[in-house]
Amino acid sequence: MSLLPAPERLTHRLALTAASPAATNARSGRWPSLLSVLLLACAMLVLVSLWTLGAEDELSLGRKPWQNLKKTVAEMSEPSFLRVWFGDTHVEARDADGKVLRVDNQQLNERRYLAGVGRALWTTLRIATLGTALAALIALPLGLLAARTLHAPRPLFWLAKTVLDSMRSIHTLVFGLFLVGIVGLGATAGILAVALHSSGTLGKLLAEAIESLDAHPVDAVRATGATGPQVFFLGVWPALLPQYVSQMLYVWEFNIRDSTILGLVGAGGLGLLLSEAMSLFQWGRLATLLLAIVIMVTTFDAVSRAVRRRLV
Amino acid sequence: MSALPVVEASGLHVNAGDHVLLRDVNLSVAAGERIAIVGHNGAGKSSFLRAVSGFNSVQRGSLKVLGTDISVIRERSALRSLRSHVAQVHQGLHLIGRLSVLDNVLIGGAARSSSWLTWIRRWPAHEREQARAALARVGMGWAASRRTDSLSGGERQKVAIARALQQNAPMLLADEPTASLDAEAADEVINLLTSLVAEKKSTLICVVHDLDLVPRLADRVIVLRRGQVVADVAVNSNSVSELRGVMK
Repeated sequence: MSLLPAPERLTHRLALTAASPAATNARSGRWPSLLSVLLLACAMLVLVSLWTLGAEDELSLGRKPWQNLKKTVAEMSEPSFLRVWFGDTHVEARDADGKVLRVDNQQLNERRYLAGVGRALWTTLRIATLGTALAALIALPLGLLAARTLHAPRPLFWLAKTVLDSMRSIHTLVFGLFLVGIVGLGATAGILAVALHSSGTLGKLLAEAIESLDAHPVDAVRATGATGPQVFFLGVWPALLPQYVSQMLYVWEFNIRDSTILGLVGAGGLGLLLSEAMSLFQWGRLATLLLAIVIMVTTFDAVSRAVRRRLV
Repeated sequence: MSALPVVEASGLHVNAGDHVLLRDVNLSVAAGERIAIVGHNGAGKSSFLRAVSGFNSVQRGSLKVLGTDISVIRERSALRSLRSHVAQVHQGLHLIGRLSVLDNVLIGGAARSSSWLTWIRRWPAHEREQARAALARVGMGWAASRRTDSLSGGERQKVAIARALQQNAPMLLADEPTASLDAEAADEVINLLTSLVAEKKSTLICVVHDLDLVPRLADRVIVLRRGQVVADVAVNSNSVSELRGVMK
């Protein structure tokens, strides 16, 4: 008797297993899936870009790429700062008749240059820092307005979102070009350029951080009958602040990298020395500058990453 | 004691989009009653509590809380004033983790002192005193300056009760206050809730998952199933086994 229901159960189970492949078939029946279409589209885009650029003859590597590369590497393999210790203290510049026009002390020259690099680094750092601070001030109200979950009035929401999107889409260097024309050469243009571009980034990050906050504790504050500002300052702000500071550090990191080239358009800092070294073909000095940039950026990346990990 | 009804639902419908949360709920809760709401997941237990505190909008019917019809409230200030009279202890961790324990308790009195100084967590002296007393009452006085997310689940739930105490409301809603607590902590929380409700003579509406807790928490039990009230009975010695039958 007790064995009797067994075949029934078996058929039941069989029916189930028979049903499940059908179900998976139904799911995979929607081929091509979104992912495969996307991958295909990306592959097509890569091929089309390669093909058209090749057809326009824009993909050439020049006439002697290897020789050029070797030459550049050789020229840059002797960074100018080494001459502070190993440079010639007596370099004579003579005219065609052999008359001594000038005597140079390489060690002294490069020591002076290195001090100049230090000052430019310091300027770059200050531009990035002040730019980020200003961006934090601009981004705060815009980010709050652009956060869906805070239900700002519709027109203000769209205005904030549009402003943030357009600020983010214009590169710091482009802002720098404009601002040099407006406020003149120097650090002010750089600070404003950094602030305008990165307030777009920071505002968007802030809005997204607000949107992803856990709603339950906030609702619990609202449930006590607290006013709107109380809900914000007691429920939202404490959870938001560490995230905001962490994002600020992240953007600061970015801005230190960005401000190293701002001088290219005359907006102060290291970039000026970069363009000088490049146009005078002083590859040794260029190598010194690149090394300085790498050291500064990696140091600040490491510090800011360590701080951010402890924050959240 | 024929007390006024503090909650009165008639023909109450609550939807979330196309999804029906509550349908045709009729019930009346008198002041000082202790009610347990039971039911399976998705039966509408939490939805009812959310409706009572004005977080779920009423589609049809009426829902009167402390004499005010929630379905017709339009002004935010009226809703805020109503909410200030309904204290809540939520399921899980609904405290602000990065604030101190005392700051979390002080939030309970937000509706009383709405000065901008509270935005930067400057509270009047009597509020601070009251909050310290509330913390001491739940046995958490030692933790006042600790950060809330450094506490255990049971300790946080006691802080949540202190926040409700600080709110000093005639009505307390509790949503599975002992969920995710171990037996010992759950026991402590239940004792605390019941003794406070008895002291303050307040009304308790409590969503319960564990049927064995019903006799300890409530005099009356309401069973919800798919958004409808399927049983509304007084709690007595054999009601738990009856409930198990109804729940099946």
